[in-house]
Amino acid sequence: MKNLLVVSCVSDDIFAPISMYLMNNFLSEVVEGAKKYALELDADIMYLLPEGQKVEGLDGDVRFTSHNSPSLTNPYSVVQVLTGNLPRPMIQDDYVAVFEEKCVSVITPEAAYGIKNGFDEKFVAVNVGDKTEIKKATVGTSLLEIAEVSDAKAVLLGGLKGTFVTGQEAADTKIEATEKFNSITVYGQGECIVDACVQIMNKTYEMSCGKCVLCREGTSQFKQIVTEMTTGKAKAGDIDLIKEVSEIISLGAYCPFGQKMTNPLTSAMNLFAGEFEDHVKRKTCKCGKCYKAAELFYIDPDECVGCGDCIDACPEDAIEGKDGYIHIIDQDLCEQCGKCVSACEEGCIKTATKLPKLPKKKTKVGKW
Amino acid sequence: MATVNLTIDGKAIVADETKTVLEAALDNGIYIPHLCHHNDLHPNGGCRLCVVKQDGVDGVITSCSTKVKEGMVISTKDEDAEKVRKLSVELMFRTHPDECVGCPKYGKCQLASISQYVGDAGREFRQQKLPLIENEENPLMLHEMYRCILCGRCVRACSELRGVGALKFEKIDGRMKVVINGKSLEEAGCQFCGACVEVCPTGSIRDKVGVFKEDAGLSREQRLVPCSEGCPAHIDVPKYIRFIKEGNYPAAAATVREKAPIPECLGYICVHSCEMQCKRNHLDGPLSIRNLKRFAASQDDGSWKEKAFQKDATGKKVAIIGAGPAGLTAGYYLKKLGHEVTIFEKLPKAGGQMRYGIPSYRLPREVLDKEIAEIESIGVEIKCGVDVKSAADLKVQGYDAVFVSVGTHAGNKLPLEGNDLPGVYLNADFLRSINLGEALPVGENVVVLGGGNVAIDCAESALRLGAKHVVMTCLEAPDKMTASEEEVTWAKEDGIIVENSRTFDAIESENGKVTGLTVTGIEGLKFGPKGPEFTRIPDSTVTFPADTVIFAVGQHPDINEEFGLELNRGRIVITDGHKTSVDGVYAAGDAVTGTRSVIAAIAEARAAVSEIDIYLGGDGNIEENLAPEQIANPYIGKNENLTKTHRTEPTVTDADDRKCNFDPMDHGFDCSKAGCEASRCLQCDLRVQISPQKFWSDYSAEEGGQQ
Repeated sequence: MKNLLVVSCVSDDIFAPISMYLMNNFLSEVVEGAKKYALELDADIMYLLPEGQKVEGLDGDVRFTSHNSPSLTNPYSVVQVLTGNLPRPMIQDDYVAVFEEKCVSVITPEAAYGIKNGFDEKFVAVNVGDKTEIKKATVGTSLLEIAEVSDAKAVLLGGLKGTFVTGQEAADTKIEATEKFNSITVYGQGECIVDACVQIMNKTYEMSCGKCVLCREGTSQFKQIVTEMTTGKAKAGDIDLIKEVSEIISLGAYCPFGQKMTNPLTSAMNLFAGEFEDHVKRKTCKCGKCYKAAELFYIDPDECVGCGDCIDACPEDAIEGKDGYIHIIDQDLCEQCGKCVSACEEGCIKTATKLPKLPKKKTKVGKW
Repeated sequence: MATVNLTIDGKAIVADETKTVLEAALDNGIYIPHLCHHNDLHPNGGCRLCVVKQDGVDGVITSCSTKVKEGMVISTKDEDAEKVRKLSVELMFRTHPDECVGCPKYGKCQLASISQYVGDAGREFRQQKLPLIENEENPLMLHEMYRCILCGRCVRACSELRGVGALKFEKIDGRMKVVINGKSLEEAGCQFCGACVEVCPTGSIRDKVGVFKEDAGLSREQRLVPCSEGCPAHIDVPKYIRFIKEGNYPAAAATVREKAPIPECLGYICVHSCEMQCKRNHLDGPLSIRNLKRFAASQDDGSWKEKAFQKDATGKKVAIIGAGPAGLTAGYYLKKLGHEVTIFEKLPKAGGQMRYGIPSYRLPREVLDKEIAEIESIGVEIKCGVDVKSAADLKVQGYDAVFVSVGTHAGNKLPLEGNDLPGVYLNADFLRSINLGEALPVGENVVVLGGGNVAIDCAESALRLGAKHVVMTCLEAPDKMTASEEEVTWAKEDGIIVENSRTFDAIESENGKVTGLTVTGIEGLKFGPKGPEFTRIPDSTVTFPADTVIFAVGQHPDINEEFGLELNRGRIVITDGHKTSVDGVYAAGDAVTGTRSVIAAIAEARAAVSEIDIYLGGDGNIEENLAPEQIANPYIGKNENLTKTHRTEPTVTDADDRKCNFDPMDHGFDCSKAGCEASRCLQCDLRVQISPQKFWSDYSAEEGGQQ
């Protein structure tokens, strides 16, 4: 045989751990589907599993990788991983990925299951709070069949590439046999959407393979900017910046992940424009999540002795002041690492969600 | 091959169906910005600069990885495509330092060039500069990866072109980086080919300063292959070393012979400036190129003769004065060009300094005789024992051209008290006497003045003639001596005392007989326009006992005004094209330049031959391909022994057995040593195969200035 069919169990979106669920619970269907497809392709079958995972009853060519990447449905990316490199896709006319002299095709367990059992069933990962439950749904039925979404503040359909909708919209949505319905993530009324976006962008940055500039640097920028929205550093133009740039990234990024990774953020911004504005312009979080989580450090001007120890300890050079003068933390530069707190022998560096009145100009110790 | 028709920016284009849209555009003078794309590497698609609009297709397409198709309509200046490009450049600069002027790649950076072309939208992104980590620990190359924009060319070049894989991508603290696949390049299996440097568009991976000459006058090939560039005759060193590695020794010999008609002699005595330039000097020591050449030449089977050119007789006559390396070389090529050649040699046999200067323990006379016979075999006439008094007269005697290569057979004598005493010799006279079989007598204590290779030859010869104590003394400090390190080492092994940093005061004598040489220690030696400048060290005057004193402080041509040519400080004056003051009389070699080297004489003689041939109505072309074509495989793979195998030393006769006779002492390499040494070559020439980096201005220049 000169072809190889890789059943990739390592391409799941972090919100939709469906592959291993199917391998563990519907192994025979997946194997049969893969065999059927492999016969068509005249291919050997290889299973690519996450490092350390075991599937009871699976035999044949089984390999493991520590990588998990949305690009691992791309044959080139799979070959990269099999040869000890980082996953990176190759999307190109006539390109054939070769591993051990065989042309590589890739299938997910879900697709293999579909080949065996048809595509009328859809496995959906339902995320509520910390809990993830994978449910088998029938295509065409309402989302309500598998999750209580009507009262939700928001629902993310489709994970890192997905879209935020309101609970009501979600309740009116029918399940389709598309990637968008791999996962639904339910956000309750008390949850902060901006904070949710921070969590999403952290993961998106982590999942970006780094090959294409727009995704690699785009996720890096978005991650920083959205995080700054929750700490009070964001600038007034940031919302428009993200919206404008997202459009270009969707247009120009190399792979589907890069093109769609802006969706959660932009859909959240459209749906919860007021909440984002509150964060950026008014520096408040109605849910009390953001500014509470990110308490601000300040130097108590009544207690500071102007010794300079905190200045030396700050890795960001965020503390201003000279000997005998009250030191001041520049909030734009402060990364809240807390190193100054341990460096200060007077114990005068404190935290607050709202800063007290602090000196704005050079003030001698004791003159405050 | 089938072609397809497409339209790019309104221009109808016919392109080979295997081409990508980017290639088709560039081939037709339409510039599309591109950065991760490199001519020799598989398309990547990561930089997003080459995106273009295709009619009927949503969004933009990646032109470097999209094949041309019949009827395609492409717009490279589409608004969306330009937005994508601008954003990409803008994002790259958020991690890349934006201070270009201080960067060593300033002016040669593709990123800077592209950002000029594409422009910057100036959005308020966050600065995410990378930590300024420099890695200069590795030999030959340095890594300043804070400039890296992750185009991945280096990683691809190392794996795709070379099969080495010493570089890889790695995520460190979430950020993608290009890293060395091990603790050091050596550990990563790096073969030091420089492909990564060659393809890097920014200043991230660079050659260390001093590895290559920065001389703007050198071509890319000359700069990148320092051994060949360092050879005065520009012998294709990597090529013949590769032949040796492959075991094709005759082909290696033929490669040397393409530039020099006496390859085996060179193998014994060449000054090997190639080795001084060898890139491996920066790693663990240069290749033993001269010994490789010697081994290859010894395996010559004459198969090159089938390919050697011989032009029809021109009826022109050329006289050559002096049968040294320059004269023999000139005679050989002039004869091949169809001219009738007569070489006049004053001494009894041909060879010049190779016979009457260089001692036979360094160059066996059979080797010299064999190579001279080869030159004579094509019809070069050598008349020995003929002392030509005037070059100008020969021209009158009916020769169409004259080539003067009389060498420097007269030694220099310093104006020193006692320099005319019996027992005081000049280098040239002393060495010549030995090789004429009438060796000048030496006493028990011999002092040689000078620190060059000829001084060593004199000292070693004196030892072999029976001297008990031989001292060499010179102005230069040990590390500044012009003699090769190897020869100095051997001299010391033989018991010759080397006294450095001394100025010579007087030759002492008693009753008209030499008794010693008085010298004084010096420091701060510099060579100014008026000769050496130094400070005498007080109270450091000593006298070395001696009954024989040999001056080895340079040589000059043994000619005067009678010779009929303009001289300057005893040397023949030439103008461009090796022309002397007399029309039709050309000169080259030591007689023009002062004592240099056999290989320099050969290189200059070749240049002069071209001039003479043109003067005689020919085209001056003496280039020939004697070696078979060589396919240098760029896919070198990971050879773990490459860096671990150190310079192979030749087999040399022990000091005790060599210092009492004139038998050859250095036995060079055998087959296995040669193969082992050849495999150390870093194959610098492979880097020349890589397509040079082009800038948008290069393309616009090609399309006649429009962009």
